[in-house]
Amino acid sequence: MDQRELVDRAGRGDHDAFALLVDQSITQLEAVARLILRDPELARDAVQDAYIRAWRDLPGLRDPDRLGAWLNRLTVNACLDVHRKRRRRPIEVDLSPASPPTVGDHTSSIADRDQLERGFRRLNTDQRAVLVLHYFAGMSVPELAAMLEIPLGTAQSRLGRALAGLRAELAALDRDPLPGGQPA
Amino acid sequence: MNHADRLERDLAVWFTETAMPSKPDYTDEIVREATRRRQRPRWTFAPAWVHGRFALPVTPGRTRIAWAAVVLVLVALAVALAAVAIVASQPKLPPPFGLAGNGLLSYAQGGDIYTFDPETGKETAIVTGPDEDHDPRWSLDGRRIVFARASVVGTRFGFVNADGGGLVVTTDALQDIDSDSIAWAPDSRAVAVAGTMNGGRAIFMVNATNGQIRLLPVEYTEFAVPIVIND
Repeated sequence: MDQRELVDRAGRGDHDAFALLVDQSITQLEAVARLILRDPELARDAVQDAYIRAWRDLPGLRDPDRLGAWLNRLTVNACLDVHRKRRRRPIEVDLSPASPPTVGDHTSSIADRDQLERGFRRLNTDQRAVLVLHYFAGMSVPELAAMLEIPLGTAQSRLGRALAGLRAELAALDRDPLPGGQPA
Repeated sequence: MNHADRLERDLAVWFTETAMPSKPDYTDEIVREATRRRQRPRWTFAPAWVHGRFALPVTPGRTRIAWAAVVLVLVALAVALAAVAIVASQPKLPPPFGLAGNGLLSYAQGGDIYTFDPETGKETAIVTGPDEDHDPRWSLDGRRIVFARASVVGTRFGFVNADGGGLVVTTDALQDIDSDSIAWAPDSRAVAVAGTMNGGRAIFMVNATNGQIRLLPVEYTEFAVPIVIND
């Protein structure tokens, strides 16, 4: 059964078809949510919210080929909502990746990863989402613009500002390497 | 490699390292939680939901206008449907009521009662004989005709079907009648008429089935038609 048929059946209330769609997409969405929120529990809440919204609104999805982009968008929106609702909750940071670093240059060092972690967490959720969608999910700038419903130039500048913000945070951390920054 | 390129590359690598993509163990729970909710009916979505969000550069103002138009159309449609439903839900009127089709004319000629079909031009004598019959009046259901019959004792009333059958003539007679006052009851079982009996003018009700004449206990001043009779 191809994706179009799965989407059609799930949109007509087929639980099994929806379960298959979830199975095919949840790994990617969960990773996106974890990267944006930097918290496994918050990411789980966001993913659940995204799929609940997806199930509810699947009958309105006219183009099954857009399912992936649509789910990404629902997940990003859910991340923003979860972050807003639980802003005061202490963030749990997982510093021990399950898989070893795949690149052996200086960025794979603990120190560099820690700097990136702290700098990234100083960005707002919108900026994190743009960076994750572009550099992790592989979305092009036009795809970002379409998904976020913003003009192409706005998407480009938002991505540029997010990168510049991260660069500024890293520079600030270079000047003051102690983790005194305010977590997100 | 400049500083910017390096940051972008480092970021991509770091994302890949820390994402740890793997199928979470709560997948089934998410499916259960989601599917116990009710899906939105398909008709509640605007046309081309995804197309509109992903492909069409619609400005917010235009979107609002489009939504307003959709809402207006839906409201108009709902009002029209409600009107049709209300009209259709009305009970169907019994035979004496409702729109009547063209039918036969009736008239008196030479003391006899005739019907005439305007469509075919066919004339039919339905009450004939030596009696002087006059002033035929169709019942409201178009099936019976009442007419007045002059006699030496006064005016009797006759009832006959449209085809001439079922003739009933009253035994009693009124001394005279106001022929313009003859009015059928809505149920076609009687007629009311103003006339004189025993020297006094009054309103009488004549039974179309058995021919009995009954004096109505109302003071006659001026008879007005049509009249509704609850016999």
